[in-house]
Amino acid sequence: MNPDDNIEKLTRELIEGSRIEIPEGMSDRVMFRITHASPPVARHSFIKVWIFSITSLLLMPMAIFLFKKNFDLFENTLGKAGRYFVFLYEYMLIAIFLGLALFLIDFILRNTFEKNPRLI
Amino acid sequence: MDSEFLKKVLGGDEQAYRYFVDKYGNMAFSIAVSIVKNPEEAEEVVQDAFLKAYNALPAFQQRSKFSTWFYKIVVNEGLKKLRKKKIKFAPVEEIETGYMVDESELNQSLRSLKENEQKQFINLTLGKMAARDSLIMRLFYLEERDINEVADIMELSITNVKTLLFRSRKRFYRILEEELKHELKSIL
Repeated sequence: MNPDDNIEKLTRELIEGSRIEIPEGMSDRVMFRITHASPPVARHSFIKVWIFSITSLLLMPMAIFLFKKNFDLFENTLGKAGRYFVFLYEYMLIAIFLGLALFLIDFILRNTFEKNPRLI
Repeated sequence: MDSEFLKKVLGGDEQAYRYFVDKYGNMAFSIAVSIVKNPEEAEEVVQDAFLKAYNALPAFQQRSKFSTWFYKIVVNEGLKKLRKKKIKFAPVEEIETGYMVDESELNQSLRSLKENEQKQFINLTLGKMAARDSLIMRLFYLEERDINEVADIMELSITNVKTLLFRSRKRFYRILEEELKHELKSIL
């Protein structure tokens, strides 16, 4: 046996002795996360992205409509800066509305499909 | 066997996934410890990796073994954790060609230790090694993966794996020898 083979053999024996036991209950914790807290993230997120995009597109005309409607009022009272203010204001409203809508959709999806994540 | 359970999981039997958790959990934990050097964080890495693998199972095309695919996920999750801690994966460098292992002397010193002390020294040594070094040592010697699989898991070329393995082994013995000398001095 050449010296390199000896070293290989010794290394293998030594490293074999370094086997680490997994923390107690780790498997159960993993399974708990799998069965309880894990909706099928990838597909779920994919659906969410589509819902978000479509809803944003649908809400865009509404934002423009509200912007135009309030434009004069804000410009008369706040001057030119009012334009920017009103635009930000409308957008904030819509963002909040979208956030709530997404939360609801997410909640419904989770509760409907969590029992059988492969459905979506 | 793996493919049988894979079918069950994909058919909606969540509990069948325990087979993979029990079979690969131990090695996944060793890999994670090699990278993050901390048992608590290593458990987080392993849990996240199992979850990620579970969610990605429908996309797993079985071109490689489940274990190779899964260990790759563990390595990536470990590296993600390291990046969060802003620690870099050690580069392949530092050639220590001059270092020669006196295998018989080392063997003798190790044999004089009790089994659990020996294990403690080996783990201490692996803990002191750079993440990349201890990872490759564990994959190759503990999990007994062949060079191709190690290259696949670590996303390195076969030549790089061979070089890294050679250097890691040298570093391993150098650190181990230092640790043993230190221990001997403290006893005397």
